[in-house]
Amino acid sequence: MNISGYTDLEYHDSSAPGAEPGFRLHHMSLFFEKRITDQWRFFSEIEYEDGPFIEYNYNGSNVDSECEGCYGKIFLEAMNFTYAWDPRAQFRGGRFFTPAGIWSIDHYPPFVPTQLRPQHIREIFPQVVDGVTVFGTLPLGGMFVNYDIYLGNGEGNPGSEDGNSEKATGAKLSLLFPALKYLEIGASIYNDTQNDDQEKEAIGAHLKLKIWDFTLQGEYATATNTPVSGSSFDQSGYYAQLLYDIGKWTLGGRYDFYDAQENTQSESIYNSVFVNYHVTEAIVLKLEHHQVELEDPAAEDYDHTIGSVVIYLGN
Amino acid sequence: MRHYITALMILMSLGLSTMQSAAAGERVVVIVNKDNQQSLSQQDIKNIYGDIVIQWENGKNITVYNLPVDSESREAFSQKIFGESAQRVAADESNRKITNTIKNPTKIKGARLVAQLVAKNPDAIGYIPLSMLKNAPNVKVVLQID
Repeated sequence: MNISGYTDLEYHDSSAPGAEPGFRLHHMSLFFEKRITDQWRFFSEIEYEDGPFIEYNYNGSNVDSECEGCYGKIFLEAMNFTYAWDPRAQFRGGRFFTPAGIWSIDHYPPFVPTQLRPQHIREIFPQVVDGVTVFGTLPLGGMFVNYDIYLGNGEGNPGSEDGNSEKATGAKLSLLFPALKYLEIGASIYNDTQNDDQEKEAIGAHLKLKIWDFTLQGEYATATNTPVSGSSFDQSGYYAQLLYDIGKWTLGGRYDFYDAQENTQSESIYNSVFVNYHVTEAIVLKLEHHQVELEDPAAEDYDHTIGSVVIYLGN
Repeated sequence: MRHYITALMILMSLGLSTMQSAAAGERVVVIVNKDNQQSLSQQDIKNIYGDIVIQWENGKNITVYNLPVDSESREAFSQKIFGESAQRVAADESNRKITNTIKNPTKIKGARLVAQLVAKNPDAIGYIPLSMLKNAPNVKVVLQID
């Protein structure tokens, strides 16, 4: 069994109404990975977020049902088995990150440049899928095709039964051009009948390009939501991020747009600049500044700054 | 906003001053077992170490050996094959591990042991300093990195 993990400590300062500067024990995540045979593998992640505290009071023979003073989150972010039948077709069942775009998968603080993720991530495609997937890599001339096709319970059905008989389905396709330093382009789709019978159809596109010491990464996603009664509405988001690696430093900027519901003054834009210092491959110091612009005229724009120490506990 | 940009400029200048020399001086050779009949290009080696290709043409799984991230030979190898520092390439592999997208993790061993293990395993690939090659029977060189 390989055990690894990561942890991060942040200091926040924000001009948002009501926000106070302070420290945040954001994550403490533990990964358990076992290669049971050449084909069979197990993987799980248990995440402790915001320094969780859970203590039930024991009063004689009874335990209080209320968890007074509890805070934080403990979350089984992943738990799955994989049968690696062939590089072209591998099978996985359990809870896994939704194969959609880039940041849905590559989201861990030691390996992304900001503690804040782009706004539309987890809003259009769900964070995780409880279900099954087949995925693989196929050679295509000098290129490679990565694919994922999955079936799951859908949003709002964690761990146990689905709220309806319809299953969520989705797929992701990426083309890799290994003759270049790094180039990946791809697309994702997702369809779900949610527990309130609202239909959700989402599509997305992504690109990641490394050239010289620059990395350009961008994603776009949009979803059409069709409730049982009332009008359908769209949500959409995109970001473009440019990184420049110079020795142990990474400098970057990102433009990030999200509209949670069209025609409702719900647009928001994050203009972000950031710098990372990679002490080692496992320790990163980050400073990031986000300027937030809100479409809603009743809401004030604000700034958000985060300094953080992020440590990968490698295996 | 202005003082954050100023801070960024200061950090950039610090970055320039601390930028490491990318080129390590040591020659490195990529080796496979002498019974391995497959010819390998530099692109093939990148695909193998980049976790894109995980099987030899005969369908056998590839055993991939890496050197410790702080070794000069790994730095030279990473710069030549990936155009990136060993630290960045190692971080990419760590990311694949915790996102559960890794297919064939590399095994990290010392150079002397890599030579011995590749000599014993027809499905292995590794790289070692050129100076160590004379003590490495039963391996063949598929690429030399100057």
